[in-house]
Amino acid sequence: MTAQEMKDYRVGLFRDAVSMTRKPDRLPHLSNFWTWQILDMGYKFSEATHDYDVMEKVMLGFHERYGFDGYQETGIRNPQRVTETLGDSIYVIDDEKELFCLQDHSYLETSEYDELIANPTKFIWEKVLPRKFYRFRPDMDPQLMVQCVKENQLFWTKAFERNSKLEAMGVPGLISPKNGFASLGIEYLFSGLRGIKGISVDMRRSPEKVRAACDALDSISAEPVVQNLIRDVPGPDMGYCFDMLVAVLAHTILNMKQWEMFYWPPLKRIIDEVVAKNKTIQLFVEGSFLRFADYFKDYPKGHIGLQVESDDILEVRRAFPNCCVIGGMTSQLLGQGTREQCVDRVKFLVDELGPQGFILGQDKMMSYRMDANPANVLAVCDYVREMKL
Amino acid sequence: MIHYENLKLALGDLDEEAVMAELDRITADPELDAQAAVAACQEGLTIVGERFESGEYFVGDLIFSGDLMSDAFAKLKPFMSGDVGGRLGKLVLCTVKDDLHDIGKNIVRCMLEAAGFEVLDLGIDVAPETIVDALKESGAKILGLSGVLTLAIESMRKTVEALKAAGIRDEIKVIIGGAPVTAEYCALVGADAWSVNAAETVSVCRGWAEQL
Repeated sequence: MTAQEMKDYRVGLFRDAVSMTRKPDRLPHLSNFWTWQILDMGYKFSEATHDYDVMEKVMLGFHERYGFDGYQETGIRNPQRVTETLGDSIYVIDDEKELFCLQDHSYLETSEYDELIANPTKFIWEKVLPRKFYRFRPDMDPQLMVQCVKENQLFWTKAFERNSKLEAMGVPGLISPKNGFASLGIEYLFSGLRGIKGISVDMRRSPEKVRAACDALDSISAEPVVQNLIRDVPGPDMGYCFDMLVAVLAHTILNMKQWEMFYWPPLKRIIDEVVAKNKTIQLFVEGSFLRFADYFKDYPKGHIGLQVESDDILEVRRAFPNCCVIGGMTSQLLGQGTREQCVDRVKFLVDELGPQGFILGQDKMMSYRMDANPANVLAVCDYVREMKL
Repeated sequence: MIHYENLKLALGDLDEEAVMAELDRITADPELDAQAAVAACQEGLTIVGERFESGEYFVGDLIFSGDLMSDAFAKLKPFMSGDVGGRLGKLVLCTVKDDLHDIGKNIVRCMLEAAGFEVLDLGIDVAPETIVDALKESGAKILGLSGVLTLAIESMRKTVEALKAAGIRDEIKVIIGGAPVTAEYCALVGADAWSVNAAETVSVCRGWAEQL
């Protein structure tokens, strides 16, 4: 196959699986490997996130070694060089311990909700950014901002170059840029503005304010994506595996009333429009999602790819019969099991979940060395490529 | 005679306004029994745990309950004369080395204290030797190890190894908890039990404490 034919073939695998009516030629295999890729290719976290040549070697080398059909991460998750120009202090990168994480943080005081609600864009520029980036101040040297913009341009230029090179190797992009990624207002409050503890308390103390803040943030984040969907022509973008992506994270702390108040309305609005436009959406879900199954039962097959983490994927299949399920290969097995056990797990999953409506992936964001044994990953990748459904 | 039932119910309902109003009412009463008030708060937190298990409450509610409990204790503290906890004994708790997350650990600490444990919280990123020292010094027989990153699994394993090296493994019950923890990882670490939720952790530790 030519690279273009391989790319089209791989898109077809994903699109067929999500359709739940067409049998893919073989099992599509999605990489949920993140910073693990850097370590596996012999580099340090700080090297790869600061040197774009290294990041390119990581991503291209990783594909050459394993040959997944699609990649959740191609080196765009951590734009350290961009954020560091303004002074970023919330990331913890320790190459010696091989530690890369983010600390819980809060950039919004409870007394400031009204200000955020009144004008979220203004609030982010004037309050959030100076708190997040210690060099971002009214009296900052304008050259610093110029440097940040240049770093941002460079970051994306290099990201597009990497993706083009992956495409030249027959790897499709995962999400169509036409519809892209949507983040909901509650997610910004959860992981960006108030932190896990702060939003937990606020939802109890001032639910109406939190709701209004979600609406305000949705107006500048999720709503433009919905409007774009409404304006878009119907049908999928066959150059990519999915038409859009939503990362579902904040539900991990919400009770059902809070889910209905803060999360479900904007998510439903997006999914409704995806279905109306005959497109597909990947829901990248952290934690457990089974308790929300009823909300998805009326959607027709063929539109939702549900990537799950801690739930038993067989239970997910039963609970979400209209969604293509993504996942199933456990980090525990990839990290601690044998090659035979890993391959047996693939066979079991295909028997139980295939051939339609299932995409093989890893059950967590693979980040640290012990998350997987490279020999196990190779064995699974090799097996999946050869196995016909 | 003061009735503490409303305090318990208000805390179980996570009704902050009602909790504070009840506390204002009872602390203004000269017949206040601070120990009974604390016990009512602890019983309220038991209701929270039950509602979490039933699915009515979720993680955010547990985090809020921890805040509410701290505020209630702060209000009662000036009226308390002696030790308010520890009837189930001492317990050492921490987030293991190379992991900096503490939200889950803090929820567990709050619920363990409410259940009657005296919790020695060593904080985050705690080295195995520090944990061994704390166990020896405190005489605690239960150890709770928390972690969110998969890196934590290796640190948990090293901690259990350190207990063995110090010759105290057989005396200590070890429970591990956090997002990456599974039965398989529990076996790998060599812990006695594992859990991914606070209420279950309390239940396991209470069972151990009653046997010790």
